[in-house]
Amino acid sequence: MSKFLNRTLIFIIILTIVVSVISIFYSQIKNKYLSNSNFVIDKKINILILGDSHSEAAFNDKIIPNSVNYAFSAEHYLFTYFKLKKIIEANPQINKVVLSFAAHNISKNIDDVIFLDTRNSRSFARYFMLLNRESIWECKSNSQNWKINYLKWKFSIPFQLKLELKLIYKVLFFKKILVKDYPFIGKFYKSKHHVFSNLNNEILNHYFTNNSISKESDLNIKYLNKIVDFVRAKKIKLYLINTPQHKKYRERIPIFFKKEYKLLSNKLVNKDTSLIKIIDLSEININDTCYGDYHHVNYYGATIVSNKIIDVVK
Amino acid sequence: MCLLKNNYICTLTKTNYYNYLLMKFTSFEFIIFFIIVFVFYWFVFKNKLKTQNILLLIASYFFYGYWDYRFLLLIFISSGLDFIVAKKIQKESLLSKRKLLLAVSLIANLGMLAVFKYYNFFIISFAQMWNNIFATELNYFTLNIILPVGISFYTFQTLSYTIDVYRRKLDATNDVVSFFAYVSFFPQLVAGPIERAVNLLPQFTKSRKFDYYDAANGLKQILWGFFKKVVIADNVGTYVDQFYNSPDLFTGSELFLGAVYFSFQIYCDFSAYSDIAIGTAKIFGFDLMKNFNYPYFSRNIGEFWRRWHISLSTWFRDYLYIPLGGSRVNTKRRLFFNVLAIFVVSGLWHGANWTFIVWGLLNALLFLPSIITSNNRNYLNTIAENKKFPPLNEIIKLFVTFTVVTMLWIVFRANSITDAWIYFTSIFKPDFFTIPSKLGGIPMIILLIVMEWYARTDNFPLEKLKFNTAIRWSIYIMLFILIIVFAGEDKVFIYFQF
Repeated sequence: MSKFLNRTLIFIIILTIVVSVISIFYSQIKNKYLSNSNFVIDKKINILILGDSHSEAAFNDKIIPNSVNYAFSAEHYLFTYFKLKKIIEANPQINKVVLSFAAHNISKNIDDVIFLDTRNSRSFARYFMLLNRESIWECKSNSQNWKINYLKWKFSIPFQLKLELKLIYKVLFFKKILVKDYPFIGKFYKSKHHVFSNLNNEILNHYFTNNSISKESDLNIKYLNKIVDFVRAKKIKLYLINTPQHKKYRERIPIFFKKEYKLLSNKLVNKDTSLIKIIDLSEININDTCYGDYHHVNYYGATIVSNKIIDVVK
Repeated sequence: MCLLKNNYICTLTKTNYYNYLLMKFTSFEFIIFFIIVFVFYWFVFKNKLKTQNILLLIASYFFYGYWDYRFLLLIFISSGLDFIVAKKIQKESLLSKRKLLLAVSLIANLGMLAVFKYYNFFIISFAQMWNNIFATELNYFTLNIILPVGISFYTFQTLSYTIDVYRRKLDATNDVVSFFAYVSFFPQLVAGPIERAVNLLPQFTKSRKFDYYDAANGLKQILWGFFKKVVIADNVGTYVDQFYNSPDLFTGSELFLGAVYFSFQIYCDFSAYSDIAIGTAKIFGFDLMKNFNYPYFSRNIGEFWRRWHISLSTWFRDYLYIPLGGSRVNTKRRLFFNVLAIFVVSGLWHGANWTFIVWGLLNALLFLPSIITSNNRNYLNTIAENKKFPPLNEIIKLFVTFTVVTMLWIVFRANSITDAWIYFTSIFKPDFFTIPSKLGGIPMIILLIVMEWYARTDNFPLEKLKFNTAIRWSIYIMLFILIIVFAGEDKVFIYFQF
């Protein structure tokens, strides 16, 4: 027994030393790849498009002049806030931000979907490098994944190598890091697919928890407010856009969320009517073939939406 | 797109329930639990067999009850019933009464399994059939219950005891603690290996001494299990979910890659659990049976089934196939029936879904030709035994077998037969010959194959590494680091739901 315990102890000590060395080495790499200079984009770009899959699918940055679409599927406003800050710090020429804003963004169920379990690890791993201690605790869930990822953040251990591999490689080999190399940077989702799948599931996932209407997402609303405050401080115009949704989907949105969405929209605009604009395109009349599913447009729908947005953000 | 991820969330509802509440081998809770049990077992209760067994029983009930204490009653009833019935069978000399007692055990155990696992499936399927035939709605009710974790495993384990006592292969035990601990032994309680009483029960009644080599080997096997689960199964699992939830978004080559990924996901997930279970048991002085023997190095489907989930396939062989007459029957029709029965029941054992039944049926159809031509017992040895590489014809056979098994896993993984068909047909599109994206899982799979190939005659790759201590320890540290780096995308063990 003593041989077993001794050897196990020696092994643990060696392992701890090796992990500590990796941790120190890795934190140096992380500091390098997080440098603001890596986030500098083309000086001509003055419109930044952010948000979740609604932005990702609806705004074609090839159509909207001087714009870039960095939206990412299932992105919580908590993550958008830190992403926005980082990009703006490196790119003072950006004076307009387009952000998707729909009723599902204020549903508590979306918090659960994003922060619980498997999703948590993916989102966390993708955005962890941007987050601070306070925000990491705000993402907390009871899942095993959160605990592991928190420890990895705390002790500076790579989260998911496949997400960071490019960045680590570029730092080690002195290559230039591009904004698109970061795992949280999305792009316009060019899809011509049109599949109306199970509407019931979509509605349940967006607005219901255990078959009852979800509560409001305090966290999403808090960070949406922080986004608004941040752009106001920087004198940046913010366009909160509700992208097209199919009539059948709109009809199924619970009245509670329709009302709350209206109330919040008014509150946000009233913070600064000159800088904050709400644009509701959810009810525009487009063909079924322009939808990717019940609440996303596809490439054809995006062409229509993007052309409408050009005039708005001019 | 949200569309894809929403569907993903829907399919996870049940496994999420397990994920939150189970004390998984890969959880912090299990590490603490393991250390406490280890300390009490080897330090406090050293050389006290009865107390060690009581500790194992309490630990096992705590382990299971941690998930949902209400289901402890089920395992308690199952164990208690078989303990009493087996003793009565032992004493009884009249065959008819012995048969009756065995029937009581079978009906009670399989009855519980049927209610919790199959009732909803059969009642819904029956009602649908009724509606189709008679065009009238049939009133029925379904049970709003979750499947108790591991019920399929411990039911078969306790049944093997009663059947073996009935067959006079084993004497009924009078040691209630040992028997209850045997049924609920925490390392293998929720996902096997399905141990036979003949092998495991006597180990509870012999005194156990701490053995350095067994314990060290146990730790190595646990490490190997963690590597397979965290670095490979969970890693490729994220790709698999994407491929299977929206096959229309991917090219044929990507879907084929997805099918290959699932082959490795299910193998690494399930065999990892077995490795961790066997390794943990070794540390406590128990020797569990081997459950996987490098199944993807098989040269035909018969060999694959001798190497995959060995504890289940041998269970069905001994308690179903052979009692039905096995291959020693008079007519080919009867032989067909026996083979179909064992594979269909094996499919159904995995879950109440037509996909599992069809998966079992397809395996039977592939297995039948070899049993008719008496080729099913070919390749009892290990591929390229005493050589570095096999001859070309065996390499071809290995690839063909792997491809066939991979295609069958599509049915197993899909949510429905229709989904499986869509996935299968979507592979064979003109873009099958394009280079797929999402190749991120390949390097670790290659590492797995290389390590397994070199260890194909050992129990697991780290068992007998032929290097000096420094290199061996470097390999262990490398695996540890990979586990740490890849951890955090934890998925519940697939076989928990079976």
